[in-house]
Amino acid sequence: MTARRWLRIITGLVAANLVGVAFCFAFVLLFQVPDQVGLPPQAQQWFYGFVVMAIWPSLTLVPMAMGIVAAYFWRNLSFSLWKYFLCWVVTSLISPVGAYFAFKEGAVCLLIGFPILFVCGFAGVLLGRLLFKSKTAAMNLSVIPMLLIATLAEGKMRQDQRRVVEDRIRINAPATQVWNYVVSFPAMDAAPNYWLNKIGLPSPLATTCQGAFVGAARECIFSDGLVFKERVSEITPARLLTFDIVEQPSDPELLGHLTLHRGQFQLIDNNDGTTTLIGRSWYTLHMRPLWYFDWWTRDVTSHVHLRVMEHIKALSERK
Amino acid sequence: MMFKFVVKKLRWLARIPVLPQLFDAGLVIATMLFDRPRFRAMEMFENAVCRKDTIQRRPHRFGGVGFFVGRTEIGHLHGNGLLDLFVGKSFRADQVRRGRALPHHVFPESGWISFWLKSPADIADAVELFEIANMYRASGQFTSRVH
Repeated sequence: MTARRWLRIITGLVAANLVGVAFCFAFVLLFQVPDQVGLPPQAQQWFYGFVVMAIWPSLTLVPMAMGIVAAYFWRNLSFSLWKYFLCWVVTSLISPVGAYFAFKEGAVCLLIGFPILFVCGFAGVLLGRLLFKSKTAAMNLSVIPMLLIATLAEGKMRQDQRRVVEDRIRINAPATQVWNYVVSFPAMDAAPNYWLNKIGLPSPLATTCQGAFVGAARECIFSDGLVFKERVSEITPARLLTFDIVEQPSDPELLGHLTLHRGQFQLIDNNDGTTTLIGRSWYTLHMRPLWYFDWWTRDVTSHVHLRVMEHIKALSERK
Repeated sequence: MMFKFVVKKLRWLARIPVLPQLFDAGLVIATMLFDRPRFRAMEMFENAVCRKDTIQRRPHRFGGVGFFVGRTEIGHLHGNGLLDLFVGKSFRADQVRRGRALPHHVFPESGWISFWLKSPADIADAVELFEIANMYRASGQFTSRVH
């Protein structure tokens, strides 16, 4: 391969990532404009409404734009699809690796986000290779309004909503016995079996609580020393424990991505010596596309619930 | 199977901008990684038909690569190797009866046919069908109301 070809490949690779970074910085800067200009509150509200509607950093569209830009620089290289694919693998790895080292982003979040970056970006590459190689040599401009409409539609749907995830488990012990391990429980010895925990996502270890009364401080301790500070907000012995999360750790996997509001354990006596334990968590997800990241959030939260609830089950059923 | 389900049950999603292209990119990646002979056949077919000066490749609105002469579509190739061509109703009946092609995967009664590219051995048949579609268009009878 000649030096000229390599130069074009690297230019495409750099340009695509620069476009991605430029989009992200532009969005961040735009959100700072009202504070810096000193807009009155109502104007600020309008401004944020407009910005969110029009140009929210879209995890779908920014990678596509990156892919199209890369394909533009690679247009004269007579690449096969396989070569486009390999070049895009390298190109799409640069952003997450850069975000990990430069912005201290969480590795698990980057791993979760990577498939979107990769697939959407490759869709952009496939579009770009056809747009810029077309024998008419005219860019199919219909893509631009399509991207704009998609951005607007995604922004329009971007209202943060509080969601809840619920899991239940049946325990072969009466509710009064289960309750002993609900308010707080000793440390878990068993290693987590969830694959994301094995590659670094913190897992719950133990819970401490000042006491079984409303207002009691509670701490949920995760591996890596992460601590969720909670306060008991509702308590009915042997039936219900609700706690508000007053402070969540400043972990890169959570910061700006997810806000946890509240947790709850409900015990239902099955009148046959067994108890159904229900775990609930309320959260707001700040990532988009919602359908994708919400699926992950539910999966991760469910595994946290089930790890804790399995531990409570083992302790309660111990003779 | 997933393609069949999406095309039959979730066809309305194709109206959402960019979504068909994303879906097709997923198909291309899957084909590229898990079915190399099919993927090779897709590339060979694309190169074979685009040697003709009159044929232009463009992104297809339902995803994949569209093959056009001017503004007229001859056919399109999905990311899983499914080639859709417009050959008119009479040719369609003939090709389907002879087992050379399948009725279109969404509109079986239309003048469209479908052909699965599975390996490079299918290129000759695919190119021949493409020629029929191209000739049909050139004869001025091209009146597809389906796509």
